[in-house]
Amino acid sequence: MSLKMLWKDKFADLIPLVYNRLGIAWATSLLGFLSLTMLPIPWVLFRFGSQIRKKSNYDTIKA
Amino acid sequence: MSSEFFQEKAVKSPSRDEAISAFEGRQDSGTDDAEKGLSNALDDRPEPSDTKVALQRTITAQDWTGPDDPENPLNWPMWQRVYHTTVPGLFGLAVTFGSSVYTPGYKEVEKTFNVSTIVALLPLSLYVLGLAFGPVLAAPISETLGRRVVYLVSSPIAALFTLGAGFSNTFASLAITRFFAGFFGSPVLSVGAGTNVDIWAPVHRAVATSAFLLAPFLGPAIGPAVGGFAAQYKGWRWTQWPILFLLVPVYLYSLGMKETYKKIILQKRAKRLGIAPPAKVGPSGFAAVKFLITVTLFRPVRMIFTEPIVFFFSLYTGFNFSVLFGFFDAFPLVFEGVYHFDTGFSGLAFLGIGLGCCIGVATAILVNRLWYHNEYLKSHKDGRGGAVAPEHRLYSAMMGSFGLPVGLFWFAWTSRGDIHWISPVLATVPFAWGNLCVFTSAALYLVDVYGPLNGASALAANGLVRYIAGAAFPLFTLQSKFCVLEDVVEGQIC
Repeated sequence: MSLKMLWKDKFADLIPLVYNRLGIAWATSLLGFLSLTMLPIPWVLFRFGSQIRKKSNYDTIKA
Repeated sequence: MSSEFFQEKAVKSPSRDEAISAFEGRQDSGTDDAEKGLSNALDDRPEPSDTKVALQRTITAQDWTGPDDPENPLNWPMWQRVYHTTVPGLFGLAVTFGSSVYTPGYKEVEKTFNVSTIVALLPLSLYVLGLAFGPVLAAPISETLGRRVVYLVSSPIAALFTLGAGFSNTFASLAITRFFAGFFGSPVLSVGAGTNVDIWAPVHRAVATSAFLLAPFLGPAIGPAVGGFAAQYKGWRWTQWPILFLLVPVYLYSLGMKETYKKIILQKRAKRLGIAPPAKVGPSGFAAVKFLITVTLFRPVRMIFTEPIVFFFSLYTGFNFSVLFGFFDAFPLVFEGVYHFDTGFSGLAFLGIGLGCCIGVATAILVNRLWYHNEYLKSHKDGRGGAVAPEHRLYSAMMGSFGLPVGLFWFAWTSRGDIHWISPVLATVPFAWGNLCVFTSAALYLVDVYGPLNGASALAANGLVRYIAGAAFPLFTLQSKFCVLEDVVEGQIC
């Protein structure tokens, strides 16, 4: 049995096979949704960055 | 960029010798007053404090002889400074190009060595993983021997391992040589930002640094375009030779480089003139190595887990970078599977990413110039001495954060046989644009927030996450390939 067959048989079901389970459209959409969940990061930091900085354990800029 | 701290860490680090501290601090203020006024007006970065300037005038042997010292890289003729900027840029391009150029060859590697798809992709992932360790290797070398040595020694070793990869007769040797090719290629990536800091005053540095940041994105975008044709007409071994075709000329071009690191220039000059060398500063021997590994490896890892700002930006840029690398896998699927491009032409689809990256850099420079600069001037007017909240660095990330989902959903739903292939190619433009906007913003923001020394660690954290994620991601998106590519072609999705 080739490694490839072994992989297909034994492991294919263990890991979510993003592209083949979902197809190109939904797999890439999944990444799109993930990027949507991270979209607020710069916005939140823009709004609350100065408060977060104050709580840091390291020296941070005072401005 | 993560080695930027070498220039300025002395300012922060109390363990460093006073004289060195002083001149490192003066880095940006060593120009004459008129020029300094100009730089204040144009610079978009807060000037470092120059409280120690007075001290160091007397210790000429340990610093430039004056603001017009011809050996100071800041005073080199323009053509020399441009030359020294292009070298790290070209090296960065060649090294990152080496990551994805392999991708079009993996199918053949799979057959040649009779390995599974996921294993056949390891040489891509291991190379990217090797890139993650750049700062760890570059920091001790450039700190003790200078930057020039990093360029001159590490890249030939990378080239030799690339040669080894191309001649590999077993899969194991291919995987291992690829890892070390990435590992020894990576120092040029992290030392390049330091070189830019050496030779450009802050006024001009933004452009040089942004152009340099482009390399790690542009390289991987060009890779598959070249590797595609190489794999199609010549076989997988030829996906390795283009790396050499790039590296060797760049290396020859780099031979004219001079040392740009102030500390090393002064050491050499002292030796040449027979004056007492600068006093040995900071920790030496094992302690020095430990210090550098702390800055480049241990502290970054700790910051990821203790600093929310570092955590979230590492997560964000790491995700974006891994999606970028994931595209290297998805592209053959779409352009060969759906649009029936041959291997060579499916690589050309990456040029959309290249275009997006270029627009991203332009955006980052422009946003910085227009908005951040305004804040800087306002701060001066209000008597805050040019201190600007680092949050104003985030404008381009805020814009770019929309480009990523737009590009991804666009790509997702127009990659269909009944829609022209140009649509998914164009979809990669906003994606790549957003990616670069977020990345440059994050880099500037982290350095502003944490200062030069800890900022370097924050950036190193970012780099570690970015490259490790970039290395892992193809393995988990692409494993699908072994069934998808065949089945898509047959018209069914398994």
